[in-house]
Amino acid sequence: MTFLLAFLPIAVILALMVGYRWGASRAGAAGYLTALAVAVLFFGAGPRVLAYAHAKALLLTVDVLLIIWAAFLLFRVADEAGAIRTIGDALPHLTADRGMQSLLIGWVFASFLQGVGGFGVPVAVIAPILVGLGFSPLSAVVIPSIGHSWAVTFGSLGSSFNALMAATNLPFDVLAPDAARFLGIAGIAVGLLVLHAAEGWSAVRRLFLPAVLLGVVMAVGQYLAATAGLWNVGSFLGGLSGLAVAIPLARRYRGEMGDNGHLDTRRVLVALSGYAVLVAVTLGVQLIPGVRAALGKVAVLRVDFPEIATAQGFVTPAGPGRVIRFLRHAGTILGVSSLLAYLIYRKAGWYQPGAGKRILAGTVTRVMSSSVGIASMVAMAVVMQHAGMTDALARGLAESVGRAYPAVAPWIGALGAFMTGSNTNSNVVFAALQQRTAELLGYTVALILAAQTAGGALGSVIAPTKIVVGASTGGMAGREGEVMRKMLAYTGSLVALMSVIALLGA
Amino acid sequence: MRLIDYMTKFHKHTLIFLLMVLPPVGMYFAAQNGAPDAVLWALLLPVAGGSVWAMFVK
Repeated sequence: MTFLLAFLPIAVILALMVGYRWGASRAGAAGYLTALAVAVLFFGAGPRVLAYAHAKALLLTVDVLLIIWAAFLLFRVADEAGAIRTIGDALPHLTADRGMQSLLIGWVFASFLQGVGGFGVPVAVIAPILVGLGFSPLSAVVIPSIGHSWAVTFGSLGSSFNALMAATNLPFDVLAPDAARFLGIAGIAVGLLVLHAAEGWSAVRRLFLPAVLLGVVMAVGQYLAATAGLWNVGSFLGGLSGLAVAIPLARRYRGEMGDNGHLDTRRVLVALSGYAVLVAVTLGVQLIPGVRAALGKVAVLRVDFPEIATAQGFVTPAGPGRVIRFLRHAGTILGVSSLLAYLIYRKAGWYQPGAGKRILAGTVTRVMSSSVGIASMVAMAVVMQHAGMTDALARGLAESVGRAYPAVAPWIGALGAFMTGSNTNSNVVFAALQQRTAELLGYTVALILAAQTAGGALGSVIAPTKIVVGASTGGMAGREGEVMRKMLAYTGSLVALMSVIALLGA
Repeated sequence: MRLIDYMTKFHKHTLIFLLMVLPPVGMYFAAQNGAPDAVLWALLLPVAGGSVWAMFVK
């Protein structure tokens, strides 16, 4: 009974999003209210417990949203300048081989875009490009959806991984190695699945070696970046590594080249320079020891909390909430990079009049709905933690699943992403639960959390909201069911692969 | 048009967001200073109210 009551807020979110197609902001609010009611009525959470839980939730929310807001701002800066379109238009010049195009554009470029943007950008940008190259609308939507899935956790400039750290209070050097390893293996498998989606098993046989080579290069690039503290540009650097290798590789598998028009190399370089700025600022802040230390001492928000206990005796020990070091926060790095990128594109004359206003207005309009969703789900997760509901869920799971838990962990992450629409939200809702269950069962916490975020990344691409975005831009509006059916098999096999890796590593 | 009318008509999510994130600041300081339970419950009301409103905004 305790387990069912603790599960109720999650069940509410699942039912509303999947059954009634509610958005994350509405369903998140309903889940939060359910958690509040259950915590007060059945778990003995008094006003003092709730007050401190909400204050801690606020710190987590600020930490997560700083990145989301700034990441979207950078995307708007580049999109308004036409930089993303410029990069995308250059790629078909390299090869006419259909399978190679699917790898280069639907996988490598999609991973790069996920690294710098996310928010459905890879599918929204790439699906129309693939349709223009002659792919069927169904393939044009499925290929980039699967293609970018492995890059979600360390993509969107690290927002999902940041949420994982925030929800578990574990640092990057504990979480990144296993997470990058899981996702790297998934990445190699994704390349082969993209080939299958493009041209079936014949393409997989014909382009097996280039696909594996590209997968290894991107996986290693992401792994090295993430474990070196550059987790916020992990997928970006992974995707960039892939592009660097894919371009000469595409020349090797050119197929029958037609006329794609003239390639303006200078324009492509200017388009990429906005992102080069991000890499330069990130490297400067994260890798220069004096700079990193100095920035970490100023403008620090640290709030201490006392020990609190529910009426039923569940105790949360005293300690600080999420510490936010504003000057070296990934959100600040992104904000500064956005400003510098804006100045570069403006100097190059790439903006129409009024671009600045459109960029800011577009950013605020787009992120506010997501911000309400994040604030609700973070508040729900933290209230559940402090009321002992997460603990009750973890104990119930541990008792029912037992030694098979590592195999179940990625499916929980995938379920969380499917029902909330994002890897970030899945990590916010489930990471603490997974952490606690791992502790109870004696498994390595980092391994289970890696399975959580890998499942969340792979499962996020079949979330109903993501499917709708992809279907609408690829000419599949109204046929979302076809898209989901085709993707379920690919996504299911990827999450099953994560289960096997988790079991082997446990 | 008054600011509140403008915000309610064109920036519902912004208003809801503010209702959800501003009161917890007050909750923290009230709890730290031993405020009565009634004050803490009162500060929770706008957060819960904002959430109820969020459920009806598409």
